[in-house]
Amino acid sequence: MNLEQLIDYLRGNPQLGANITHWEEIPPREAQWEDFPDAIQPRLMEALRAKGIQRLYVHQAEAFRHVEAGKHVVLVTPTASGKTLGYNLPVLNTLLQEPDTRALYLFPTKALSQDQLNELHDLITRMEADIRTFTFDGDTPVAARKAIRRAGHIVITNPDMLHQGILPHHTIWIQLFENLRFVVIDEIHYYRGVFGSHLANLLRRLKRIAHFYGRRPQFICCSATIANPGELAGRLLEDDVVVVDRNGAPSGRKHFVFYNPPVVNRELGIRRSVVNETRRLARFLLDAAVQHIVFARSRVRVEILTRYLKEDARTLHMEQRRVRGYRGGYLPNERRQIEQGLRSGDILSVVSTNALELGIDIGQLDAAILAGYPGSIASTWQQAGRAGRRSTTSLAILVASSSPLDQFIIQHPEYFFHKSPEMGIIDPDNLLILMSHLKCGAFEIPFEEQEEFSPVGTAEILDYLVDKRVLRKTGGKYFWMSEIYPAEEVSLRSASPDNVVIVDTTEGEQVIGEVDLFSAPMLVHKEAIYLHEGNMYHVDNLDWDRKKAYVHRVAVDYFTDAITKTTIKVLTVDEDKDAGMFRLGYGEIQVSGVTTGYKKIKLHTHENVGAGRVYLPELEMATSAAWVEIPDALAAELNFNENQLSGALQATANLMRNVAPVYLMCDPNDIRALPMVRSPFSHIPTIYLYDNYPGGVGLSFKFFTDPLPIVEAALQLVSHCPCEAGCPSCVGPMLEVGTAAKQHSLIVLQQLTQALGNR
Amino acid sequence: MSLRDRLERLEGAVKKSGSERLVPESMDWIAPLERELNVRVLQKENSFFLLKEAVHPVLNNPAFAYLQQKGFQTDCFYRLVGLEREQPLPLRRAVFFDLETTGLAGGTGTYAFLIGVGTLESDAIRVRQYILPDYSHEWVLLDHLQLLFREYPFTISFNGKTFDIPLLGNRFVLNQMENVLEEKLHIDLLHAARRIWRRVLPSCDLQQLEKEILQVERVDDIPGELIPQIFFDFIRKRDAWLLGDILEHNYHDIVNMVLLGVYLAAVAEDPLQFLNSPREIAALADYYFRRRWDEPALPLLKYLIHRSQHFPVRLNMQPFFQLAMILKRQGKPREATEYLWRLMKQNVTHPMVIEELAKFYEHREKNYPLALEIVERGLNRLRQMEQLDRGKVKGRYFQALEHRRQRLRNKIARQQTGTPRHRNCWTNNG
Repeated sequence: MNLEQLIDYLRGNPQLGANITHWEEIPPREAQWEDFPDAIQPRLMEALRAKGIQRLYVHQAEAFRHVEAGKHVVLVTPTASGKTLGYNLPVLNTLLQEPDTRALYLFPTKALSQDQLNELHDLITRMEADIRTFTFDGDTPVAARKAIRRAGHIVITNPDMLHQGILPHHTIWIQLFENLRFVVIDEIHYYRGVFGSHLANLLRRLKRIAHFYGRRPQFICCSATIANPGELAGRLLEDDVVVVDRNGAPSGRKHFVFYNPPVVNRELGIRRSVVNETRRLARFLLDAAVQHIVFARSRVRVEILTRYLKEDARTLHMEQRRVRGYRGGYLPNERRQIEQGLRSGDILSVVSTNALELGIDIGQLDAAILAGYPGSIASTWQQAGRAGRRSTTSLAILVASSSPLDQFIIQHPEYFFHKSPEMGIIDPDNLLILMSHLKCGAFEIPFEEQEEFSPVGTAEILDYLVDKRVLRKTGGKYFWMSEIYPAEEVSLRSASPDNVVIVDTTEGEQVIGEVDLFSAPMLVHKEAIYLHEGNMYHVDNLDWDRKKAYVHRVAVDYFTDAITKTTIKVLTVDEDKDAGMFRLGYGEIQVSGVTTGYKKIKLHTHENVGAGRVYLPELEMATSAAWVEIPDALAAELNFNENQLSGALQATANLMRNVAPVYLMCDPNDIRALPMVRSPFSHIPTIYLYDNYPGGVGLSFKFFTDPLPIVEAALQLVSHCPCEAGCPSCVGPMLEVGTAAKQHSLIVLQQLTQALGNR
Repeated sequence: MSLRDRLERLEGAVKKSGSERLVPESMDWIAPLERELNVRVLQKENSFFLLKEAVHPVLNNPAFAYLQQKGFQTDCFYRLVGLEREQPLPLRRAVFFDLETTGLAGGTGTYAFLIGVGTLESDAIRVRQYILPDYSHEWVLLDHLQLLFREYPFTISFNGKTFDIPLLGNRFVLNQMENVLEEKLHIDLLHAARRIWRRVLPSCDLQQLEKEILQVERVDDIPGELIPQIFFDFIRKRDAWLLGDILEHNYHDIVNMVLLGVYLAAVAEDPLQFLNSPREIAALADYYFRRRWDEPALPLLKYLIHRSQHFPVRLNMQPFFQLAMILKRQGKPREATEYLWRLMKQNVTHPMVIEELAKFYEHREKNYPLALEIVERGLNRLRQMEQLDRGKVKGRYFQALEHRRQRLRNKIARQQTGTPRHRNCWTNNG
């Protein structure tokens, strides 16, 4: 059976058909070519021809022209569209003509750097050019570093290494900076939220150092398809950027199937497990010998699925070695071997985490199964893009989990296919992030009194740091006055400055996950039942000082519900506006939360079977928030009693928070929602939506400026959920919100949608 | 709400720290400092730095006296400091230097606020200390330092290769000045010291060396790790005594470093006069041997062998073996063998000794039975070691010796039957 026949079979299978919520057929696309521009050096052209590249795709040619004209460019194209050549072409072309120039490539991960190196080496060897290309990261041997600093024409690295290893030592990188012409940043859609806000500041530092050596480098960026690539690139670079998004690469016909596992418990909104359903679908592919990739959301799932599929291969009389797992933690050699096996076709099935989502070269496969929504539309397209040869048909299947975000996407394919709504949002001027990079910047080169690092706040923060005795101001400059190496204290990636690590002690000690500091008292207090990957764990101890929770696996018939008191204090109102009878605000808030105890609740019957007290410190965080004030008149009109009102608010808050990641392109953990029946600030019912990061990263501000899509989506989620009266996939557990909450939140959201729509 | 308040609150969630208003900048502190610490102010345009000069007389120092007689010329020092090429290193043409910095992290944000410089006079050490009064005056200090360094053909430091030299390099680049140190010959005494004392002393830092080798004890010295903070306090408070403590510390660093350099140079010129323990001499001989400087290694090895009956066995093998290898290199295999036999007689049957002896009898003398006997002895020894569970590292020797034994057995067998190789088929047929 070939893939076409398999597709027909799947389509006709009534058992599967019942679970398929959407079947999108994307027609094939012809390539759009353009001849090599005249400016391309003959040697480079020859090398490309030798590789079988006779012409360029239009987007490659267009990017080349803009770069030649000296513009910063962001290239927006799907997976496997030859974007690598989009930046290698202008860079190599310049290096051939001006052998002294240098380029810096930034990739979000080390694995990608390695892959990029191989690709460049191939072209350079074919040209027989003296262009030296090196990766520079934590794995680079110390002995090789000196040569790389002096002689590397193209240095491939990652933001963390740039931040800690290169910029603070720029004086020994003088050859690079004095000749720095290009900076290539791939996968910029990765740089959003906290990571993106850090990157924007890192680029400020990079530009500042380049300026010190008399250079103004040109940036070439690449992005997956998101709603605002130009805006994101513009905010990262703080300069004008030309967007090139006319994709000229061909693609075969693609079938994209949305698969929702059947409901097994309507009351709790529980569906059949993603793992089992994925296995069932993958077995069809194995049986038909269709080469495919399965993306799982965690390392543990990768291992489980790999084991299942190996078993299936055996029952299908297939060699088990044709099924492989792939994830971070495998040795580099092993990974190279798997990548090679995929390219050669030896491996039929690979189960991977998102490690294979980014541009590592594994060739193109026939089919992809996504076990769970990857968290963003851009990632989903990148994972699905692993399937799809340039000329033949391919298949991608998204299998949804019970989580509200998965359920929203799977039931609203129109968001996914027709209007990618998600936006890369960053806030380079988050005070904490900005301040940490001002410290690093002062370490690198003393700041001048009038210097503008960020559009606002540079001088104030520098003066503040002088007061804190971190800097010394003298002779019109700010100097670093501390023994500390500031870059070491700043991690670019952590979403919250501290996380609590969860250690499973069932067999030895194994880290199974982490929760952010502000959630930890609720989720992993002593005696809590912690749920992870469908398993239950009992928390034996929460070591607050060391930020570790020790757990062991249990099988019990209850779960725990923390009794938490969270309060919000509005510190400033920066903006506000009316929308019909509602009022929206934006400003800074102080969130404080304390967990005082917990209830034990029996599964299924939900009886209260016990309780306990918890002694943990109160946590405080200042962050930015948007809020919606609901007029008392509405509550009165709807005739809600106090309990019902509280349930309706909680349900509405949960719904908005659940769909917000679709628009804000953030992790569900990055944003929080909290309803207050009587806000101490407004004295009326209010729902707060706040950034779960000290100082905020711009997420709630985006909601304030454009709330309608999120409110509308929340309304869609609740109105299309098949549950009877509310479930964790929409409004939240009935126990938390009450039996009328589904209906009541529907009314609130309808009113709010109308009011916002009329503005 | 002001930005400052927001920062305070945001940081409050992370950590709390007090704030203190600064004393306004003024220049009143300079005059008392000049008096109390006896420093001079050197000014250029609007910038200045401080200079403290002193002469440290050297008395009763045999190494110093020895070099003094030679006019501080050194002919063999180049080897000990690890230079490839033979060259005289006249110590009076060297500038010794040591930095006090705002941290140990390195990188562009670490400043050298005190540069101590030592040079040799005929009977004393001249110490000059260049002090950065505040960050913004750095360029004028570096400018002056550049002139000073240009006067001397080479520099000497302790651990400067990895710390002081790159750090000063950073400072020059950041001030957009030429880095005078980049092309200049530099000698790092730490490396020379390690060659002799790595296995003799628990560590080779300057404190350890000055105590054990120079026999100097410091009194009331401030711990090095406090120095950055004391300097930060000094530029805020401008108390002379804060700076005084650092100057004192650095002064001793310089003087002791120069004396260490003088001592090492004397050792290089006449090791048997200035080294006294056999372990030090063995370490130096070992270094020369490995670098294939046979000529200076020979007298040291001979000295050690001469006195060998006083040494523990562990020390014994090295001089005999290394001397044997030098003789072999010089084309005197028979003499080399004598030294190896002397080891065998003392029951030192290290596989390296066995291997060398077996090679000699197998290939040169064609005495296969004797070679085999030697190999067997070595293998027996290895088996014993293995039983004592000390044989783990000897695996490769085992294989090599077993291989050699097999080959020797084959050779002996062929000798006895009188059959050369590859003839078996003929005899069978015949």
